[in-house]
Amino acid sequence: MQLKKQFVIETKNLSFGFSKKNSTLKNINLKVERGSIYGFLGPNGAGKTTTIRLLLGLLPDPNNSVFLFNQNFLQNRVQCLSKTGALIEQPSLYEHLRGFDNLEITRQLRKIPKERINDVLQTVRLSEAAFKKVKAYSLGMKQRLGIALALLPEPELLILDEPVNGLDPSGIMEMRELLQTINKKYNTTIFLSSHLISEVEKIVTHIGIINMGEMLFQGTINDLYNLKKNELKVRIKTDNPELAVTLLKASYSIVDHEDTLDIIIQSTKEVNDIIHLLINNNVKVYEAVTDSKNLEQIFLSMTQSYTVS
Amino acid sequence: MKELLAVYRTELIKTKNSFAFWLVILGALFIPAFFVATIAYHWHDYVHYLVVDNPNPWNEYSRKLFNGVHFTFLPLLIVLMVALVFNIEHKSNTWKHIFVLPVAKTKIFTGKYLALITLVLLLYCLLFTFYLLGGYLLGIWKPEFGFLNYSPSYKYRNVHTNIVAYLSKSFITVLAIIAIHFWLSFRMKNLFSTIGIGLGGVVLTLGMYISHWHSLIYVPYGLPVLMCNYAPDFHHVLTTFQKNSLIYFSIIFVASYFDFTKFFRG
Repeated sequence: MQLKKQFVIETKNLSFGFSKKNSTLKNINLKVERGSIYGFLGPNGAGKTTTIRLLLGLLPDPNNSVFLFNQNFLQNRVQCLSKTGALIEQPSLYEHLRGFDNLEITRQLRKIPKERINDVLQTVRLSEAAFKKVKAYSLGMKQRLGIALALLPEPELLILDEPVNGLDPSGIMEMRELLQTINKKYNTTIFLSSHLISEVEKIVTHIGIINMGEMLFQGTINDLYNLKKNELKVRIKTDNPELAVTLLKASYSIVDHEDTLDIIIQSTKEVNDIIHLLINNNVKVYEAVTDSKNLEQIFLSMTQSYTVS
Repeated sequence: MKELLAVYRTELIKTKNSFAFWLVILGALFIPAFFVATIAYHWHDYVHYLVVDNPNPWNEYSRKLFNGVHFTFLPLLIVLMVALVFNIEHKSNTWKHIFVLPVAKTKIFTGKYLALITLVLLLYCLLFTFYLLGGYLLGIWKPEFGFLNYSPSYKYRNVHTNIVAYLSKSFITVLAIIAIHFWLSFRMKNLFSTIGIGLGGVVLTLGMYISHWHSLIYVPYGLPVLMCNYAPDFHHVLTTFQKNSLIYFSIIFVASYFDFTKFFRG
C-alpha cells in the first residue's frame, strides 16, 4: 500500500493580484514534501517573493488557499508560524543592537529557552561576533544572523527567500553547507527561492519553476532531467552552412548561428549519420561537438521560451 | 498576559541605544537646563523677579519652566518620539519578521502602545527630576533665591496646583497626539512625512494661540499648549480640553487598532 505523501506546504490554486486587472500569481499548486529541500526558482519578477509572502500571511489571500502542515494557514496562523522559521529577502535586523539582542527579542517572543541562542550562534558560526552591534557585521554575517533567527525555534519548516542574494562565492558555499546540515541533522523541510539555479542545484531535492506568475514545473531534480533528457544537440562547423541547413532541415530542428549550426538530436548515434550526409554532399565538416543540457540550460530554456497563455 | 509582557519587554529592548531613547533624556533635560542656565546668567534680575510679590520662588520658576515645555516644544517632542520609535521597525525592515512570529497582532499592537506610553512617562519623570534638580541647584548656588526655604509649588492667578497633578494632566493632553502619530507612524514609512504633519499641526496651533481662538480646545496639537499658565477647574477633575484629548485618544486608538490588526501587513 502506498502511503499518502505528507506535504508541509500545499497551495490550492493560489492566485493573487496587486490590482484587479493584473494577476501576479495564477493558480499556483505547490506541494512541498516533508524533509525535502525545495528550490523555488524563477527569474526576477516571476512571483517568488509574492508567493512566499502569501505563504506567510504577509499578503492577503482571500481564497484561503494556503495550507501549512496540513492546516489552513489563515485559520491556524499562530500554530503554523510556531513551527516555521522564515527569512524574507534581506534579513530583518535591528542594526543598532547587538547580534545577541536580535536573537533575544525573537527568543522572548517565541518563548524559547535561553540556551538556544548559543546553539544557533554556534550553528551559524557567529558565537564570537554575538556581542558586536549588527551594523558592524558584513553582509554574509547579517545573512547568517538572519538564518539564526529563523532557526531559533528549531522549525519544522524553513522558508528562505533568496538566501544567497548578495553573498560572495565562499558565502554561497557556506550557506549551502549550512542548509544541508540543518536539513540532515534536524530533518527540517527547507523551501528556498532563487533566481539562479546554479546557486541551489547542488543542494535541492525538489524543484518548482515559476515564471510570470505561473508554475512551469514541479518535481524532483531527476524528473526535470528526464523531462528534458531528449534535448541533446550537436554543434557543427562547416564550410557551407546554407547547404548543410538545406540537407538537414527535413529531418532535424536546426538553430543557425551563421558560423555554426546547433542541431537537435535524440541520441549521439545520429551524429555519425549527420556527418556522413554532409560529407557525401561535399560539405566539409570542421568540428562536431555534442552537448546535453545542464540544469541551468533547462531552466533558461523553460523560462525564456515561455510565453503567457 | 505572559505573551503581552514578552512583547512589551522586547519593545523596550528595541529602544536601547536608539535615537528615540536619547531623545527622551535630552528632551526632558533641554528646557530645564536652558531655563536654569538663563536664570544663572541673569541671576541678579531673576532674584528680584522670582520673589517679587511672591516669597516662594518655586511658583514663578514652575510656571515659567512648564510654559517653556508646553509651548510647542512638548507637542513636537512627542511627534518626534513616536516617529522615531516606529522608525526602528521601518528602518530595520522588521515588520515582516514580526508578522511571521507566532504572536497575535493584538498583542503586538498593545505591547507597542505600552512601550511608547512607558517612554512618554519616563519623559515626564525625567522632566520632573530635572525641574526639581534645577531649582535645588539654584538654591544651593544662590541662597538668596530661597529655593531651599520653600516646597516646590505651581501658582497662577493665586490658584495653586500640585506639581504631580499638573504633570498628570499635561500627560492627558498629549494622549491625542500620541494616538494620531501612533497611527500615522506605522502607516507611513517616511519619517519626515509624519514629522511634517506634526509640524503643520503645531504651526496651526501657534497661529490659533496667538489669535486667541477658542476653538484651540478642539485641535489635538494645541491641547498641551493650553497647559501654559494653567489654572485648574475646581468644579471638575478635568477641564474641557483635557477631556477632549481623552476623547480623541479613545476614538483614534480603536480605529488604529482595527487598522493594525485587520489590514496592516508591514
